[in-house]
Amino acid sequence: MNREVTETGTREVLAARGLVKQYGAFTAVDGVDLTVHAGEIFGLLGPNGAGKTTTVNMCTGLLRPTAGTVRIDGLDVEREGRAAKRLIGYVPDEPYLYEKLTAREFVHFMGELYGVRSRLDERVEELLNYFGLLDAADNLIGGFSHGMKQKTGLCGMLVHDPLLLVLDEPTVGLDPKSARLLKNTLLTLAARGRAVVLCTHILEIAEAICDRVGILDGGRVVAEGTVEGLRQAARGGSAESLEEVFLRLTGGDEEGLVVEALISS
Amino acid sequence: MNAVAHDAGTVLRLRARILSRLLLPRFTPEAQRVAPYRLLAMLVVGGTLLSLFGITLGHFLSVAFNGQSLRPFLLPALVWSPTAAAVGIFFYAVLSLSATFTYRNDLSLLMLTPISPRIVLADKLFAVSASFSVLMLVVALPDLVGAGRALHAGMGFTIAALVVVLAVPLPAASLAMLLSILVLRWLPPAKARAGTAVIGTIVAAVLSTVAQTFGDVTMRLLWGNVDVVPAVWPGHALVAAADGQIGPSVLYLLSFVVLSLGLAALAIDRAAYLLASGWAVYGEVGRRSSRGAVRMAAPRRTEARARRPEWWPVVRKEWLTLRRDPKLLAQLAYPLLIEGYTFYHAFGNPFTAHPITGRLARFFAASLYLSSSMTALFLLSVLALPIVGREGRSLYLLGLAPVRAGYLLLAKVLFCLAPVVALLEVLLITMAARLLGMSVLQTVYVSAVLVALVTALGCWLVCVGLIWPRLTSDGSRRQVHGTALMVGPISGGILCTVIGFLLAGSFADHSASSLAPYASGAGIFVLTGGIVALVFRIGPRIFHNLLTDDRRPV
Repeated sequence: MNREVTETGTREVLAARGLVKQYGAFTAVDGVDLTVHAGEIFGLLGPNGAGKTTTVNMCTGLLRPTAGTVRIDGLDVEREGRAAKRLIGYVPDEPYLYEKLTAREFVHFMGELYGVRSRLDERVEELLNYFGLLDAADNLIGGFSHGMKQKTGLCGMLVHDPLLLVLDEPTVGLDPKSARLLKNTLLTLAARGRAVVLCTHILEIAEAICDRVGILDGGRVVAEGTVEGLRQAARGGSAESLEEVFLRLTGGDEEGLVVEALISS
Repeated sequence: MNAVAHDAGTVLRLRARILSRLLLPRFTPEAQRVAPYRLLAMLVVGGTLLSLFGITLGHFLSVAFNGQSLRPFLLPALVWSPTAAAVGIFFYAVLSLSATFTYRNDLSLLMLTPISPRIVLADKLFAVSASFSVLMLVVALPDLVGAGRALHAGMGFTIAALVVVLAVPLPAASLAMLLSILVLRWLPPAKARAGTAVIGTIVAAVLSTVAQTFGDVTMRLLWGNVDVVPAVWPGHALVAAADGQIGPSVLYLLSFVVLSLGLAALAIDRAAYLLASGWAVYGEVGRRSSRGAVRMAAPRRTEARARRPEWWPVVRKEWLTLRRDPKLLAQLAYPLLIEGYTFYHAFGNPFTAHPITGRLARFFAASLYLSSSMTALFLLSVLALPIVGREGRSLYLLGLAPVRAGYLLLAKVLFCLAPVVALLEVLLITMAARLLGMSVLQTVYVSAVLVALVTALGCWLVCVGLIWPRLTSDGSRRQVHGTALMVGPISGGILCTVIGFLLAGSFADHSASSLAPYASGAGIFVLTGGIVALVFRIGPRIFHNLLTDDRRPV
């Protein structure tokens, strides 16, 4: 959160082209193109099994795509992995951390792993303080609640001041105060020129803070644009909320029939 | 009664389905069709191999003790071996059942269903007990068959041995279930498991030490005088069967089985009641540790950090994790304690004893090599084999990091090698130099061989664990696949044997012009160096693939 990034809005921080991931005969992600600019919060929405996590795993270098390329600030994740990874921070939906480290040790460890040389101690203290973890900083992560682990994971992923922050369902398990803090943090990061990719099911959050959203269904991007633009596009602008747009695009508007069938059976 | 039968049927069908999955590498129709034949083939081949082992052991004992009566040696061992097995099973069963009650989440799911909690817990108890019975069938039954053949016992002995290996785990597991329930009220699961592992190690070390110091005397004094203690009834049943006294043997076995079933019923009943009432649940939220914060490593200076290599943070993380894992520390301490005491007991204090010479020196050197290489293999099997799998679901953190896979591998290898090399060099080479009166050059040579062996072993075992990790482990179970548990130690044992022969060859008496000792010495370093080079050639690619492919759980 220290470096200011200029060229906000024009600099392509994440550029994924033709991403495909196949597991045997099953295609989890089928030709996804994504572009996220500096200073932008991009919401990746989609029903369960749509391919969101697979897509972000490929974007962060955690999963090798069957086809397609990912560039982070112009660096190819496959070929220039080390340099590209220095620019990424990723917090998955289940924060699996090292349970036998304390929160402070974990954030230190992540800082050292990412090669943070200067002011690491101060930066760790700042982040722990910012996320309200200072009192628990010397407790083992194994004893933390889900929300505390989530916040510790965030500290670990922000310690190297990434240009691209990817979060998968970041508000799950967070109390309202922490969720508000997280939303403000993401807005601050975007204001300072960082790019944020947010995978979420909670459409209110996407509606509130995302500059653009992409809707994935069946491994394909079925819609992409600003929330307002999607509303306009869906049935000639008759849709009132992102939820309605989402349900129409992903076939979820048939849920009424399903509920009726369940009740009558 | 119908409800009980229905519940039991449901649980048994579930258990059968889970077990059938173990036989099916892939859930294809072809795999399902082949599964019964696969099981039959495994049983036939496994049974034949184990029978052959038992027969060979019996033959070996008969030949080795030719002309002497085996009875004074074997009968006390027969009485006490089921008891010793039960003690070991008890501690492992506490670990397994603690996990069943806490980490593995199917218990709470099953307890929510209308199935009787007693049936659910009976299933859990018998599953744990049966897993130990299978282990006993493979490990203990061939030994007992061999002992029976050496004692010229009849078929009755084999049947008694079969009943013993099947029945002994049940009371141990029942007691473990009762203890787990009590302990889990007062301790969080992780501490309960760590505490059990540490106590188990201490008990094993004490029993081993007592057995070495007073073993024969104690066993011979006690074996005929403690038959009121149920724990030795299986042993007495074996002895009676070996003597051809079928009546007393059946009586001992029947009494033991009835008592075991009673204990199992009591454990199931109390566990069901205490779990359902909420008594046996540790209140983690309301009981924050009063000890408070963990002592943190001293703050480091930025300039020092700037000089550190890329792999350093991973080594430091491994060290912080190891020093807070009492279970792992206990596993590492056990062989060292036993090793140290065995040598002290056998040869006395190395700093005050006179150097050993002649044939005894050769025997001592051979046993020193054997024990030090086996200790290294054991320590590295505990430390190096699961070091990648121990990352578990946190492996993605290393996958995200801008660190080359080669450096990650190097960090893992260095962390495993450093303590093992240091311990073995200090403990064993000192003893060798003192007791064998080796020259400085010889001591340096043997030290170098040991370092080369440990390095090759460590690299190889890390690589095996890298090829077959078990990343979905929740920390309560093994962190590598069964294949790694077979391939790692067996290939490690072969390497130790080959190096042992080469080492012996390099010390062998030859004519002055012979190059054989030098060739043997060079062979050691070529072989170990080749293994290290191979691991660092293929390992980084395997590690990189693991970090970026579909095997890593996401």
